[in-house]
Amino acid sequence: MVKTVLKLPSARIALAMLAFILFLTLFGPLLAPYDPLENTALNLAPPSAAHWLGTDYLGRDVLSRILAGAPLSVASTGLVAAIALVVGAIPGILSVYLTSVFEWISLRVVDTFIALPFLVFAVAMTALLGNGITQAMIAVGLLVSPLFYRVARSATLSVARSQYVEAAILAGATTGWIVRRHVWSKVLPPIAISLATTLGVGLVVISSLQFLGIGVQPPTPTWGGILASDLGYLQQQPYAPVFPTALILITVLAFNLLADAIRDAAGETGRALIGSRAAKASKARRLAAAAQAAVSPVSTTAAPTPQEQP
Amino acid sequence: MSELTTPGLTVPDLAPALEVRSLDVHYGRGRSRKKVIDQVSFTVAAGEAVGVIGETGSGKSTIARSVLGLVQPDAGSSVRVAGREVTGLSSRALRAFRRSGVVQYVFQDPQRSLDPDVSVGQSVAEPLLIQGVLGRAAVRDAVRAQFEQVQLDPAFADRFPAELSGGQRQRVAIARALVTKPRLLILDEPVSALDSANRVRILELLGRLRGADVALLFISHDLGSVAGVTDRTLVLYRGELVEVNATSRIVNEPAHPYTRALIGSAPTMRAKGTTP
Repeated sequence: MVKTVLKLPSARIALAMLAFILFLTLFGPLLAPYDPLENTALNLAPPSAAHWLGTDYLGRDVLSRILAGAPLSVASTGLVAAIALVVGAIPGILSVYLTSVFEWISLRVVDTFIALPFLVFAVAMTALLGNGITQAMIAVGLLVSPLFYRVARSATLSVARSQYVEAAILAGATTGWIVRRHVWSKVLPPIAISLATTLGVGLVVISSLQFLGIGVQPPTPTWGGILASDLGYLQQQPYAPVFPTALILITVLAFNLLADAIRDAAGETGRALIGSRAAKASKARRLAAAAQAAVSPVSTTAAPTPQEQP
Repeated sequence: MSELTTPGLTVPDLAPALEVRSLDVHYGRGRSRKKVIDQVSFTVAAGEAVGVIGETGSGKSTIARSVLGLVQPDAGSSVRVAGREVTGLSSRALRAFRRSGVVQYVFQDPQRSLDPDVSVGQSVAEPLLIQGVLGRAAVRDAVRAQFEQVQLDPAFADRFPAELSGGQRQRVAIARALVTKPRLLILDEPVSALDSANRVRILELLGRLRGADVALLFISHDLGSVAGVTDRTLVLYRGELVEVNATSRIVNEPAHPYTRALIGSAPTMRAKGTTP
């Protein structure tokens, strides 16, 4: 499926954008020209050669803070998605194959998570476990996990009762074989779409929590935290929120584009789509070649082959 | 009810591929418990083709599912496939038995019985891969040979089910069922989902299989489909076996009123004078 996804231009654009974000995540702190926590007297300075994106209300270099904040912002989003994936998708698949008791209990737990008000739960978690990024990620991951549970369970249910799975059972296949051979390929695309969507949503949610002061505490730089501090000085620096917002938007857009591409490329419809695109491209190439031959018939026919040359 | 006699019919003198004795099956529990198969007994000899006909809900598919271990018959029932008792097997033993490939099954709708995301070559290879006995090259050769046996171009192996016609898909399903060289092949309405041209081709293919060393249990509500392929036919009515006879005699001299009604509902049968 990866090859099919990569055939779509939208997927390639999304991956290019994500490669840029990954580069910032891995090397951002190393590229930061200044210490992101160092206060100077140069408060709210506009962009200049020394400070490309200016300075904030404490005189800290904004570019350095954005670069230094990339790992925490992106990694925490990835961890949220990972927690949601493990807590949601695996029980979702197992609920179809394990006992009805497990199915009933897991469904009720998921119903409970869905019913919990998001902010109240996040605040309660931080009140219970302490105000830290790990607690915030666990809270968000748990609250997003029902999405994975529902998607994985629904996809597995549709496959588990299919005739081709019954054919595999009649050939003596084990549950492990059936899951590997028939279930994964059906369950993975919707999970991948949910994962890509969750990564986008997760970044917004984590940024929102940081904006509200839940999770990461100042002065640790994060994109959400920078945005929050910038909003207090809009009159002096109306352009300041643009930089962290742009990075959040690029990341969310890239994940959403990737989710769309995975959806388009998955299964039979994906093969049909890729097939029709390949046919169109082939037709366009043939037409272009025919047009070129019609425009310059002499040059193509008159040129002697090496054998014909004296 | 014991097995009905089959006057004037000589069954090949070989070990039976299938022996069903006193098969009783109930569905549901408590007050909703309902008997769907009532004391059915019959035998399918090695290499023999036997048809099972009856209206929808008569219990044809339940018999097949009992033979395959998908339905647990009542105590006292006996189902022996190639001499092996399959009722009461543990799930592990049942899986091992299925893995041996002695009995295989062809579904009614080939579109639903083939994984849309797996190439048809991989689908045919799957029973062999599950067995895990042959190497990759041997599996590839076996798949190729099977495609040729069902008269499909082996180059189709890389295609997906959606890229094949209904008839081709059913050939793939039959190839998948034959790849383990089963002693018994159960076909559950194998031509019901096909158009008339493909139906004829599949019936011709099944007719050719009669020469091979595989017994066929051909389940259908359509006597016309069964008539050209099978040696004997069992007539099932409300879970009971009401008539067993050579297919030609079932068609030309039906003894039971229900069989006569079935023949009457397929008027072309007598006109054709079909004799296998």
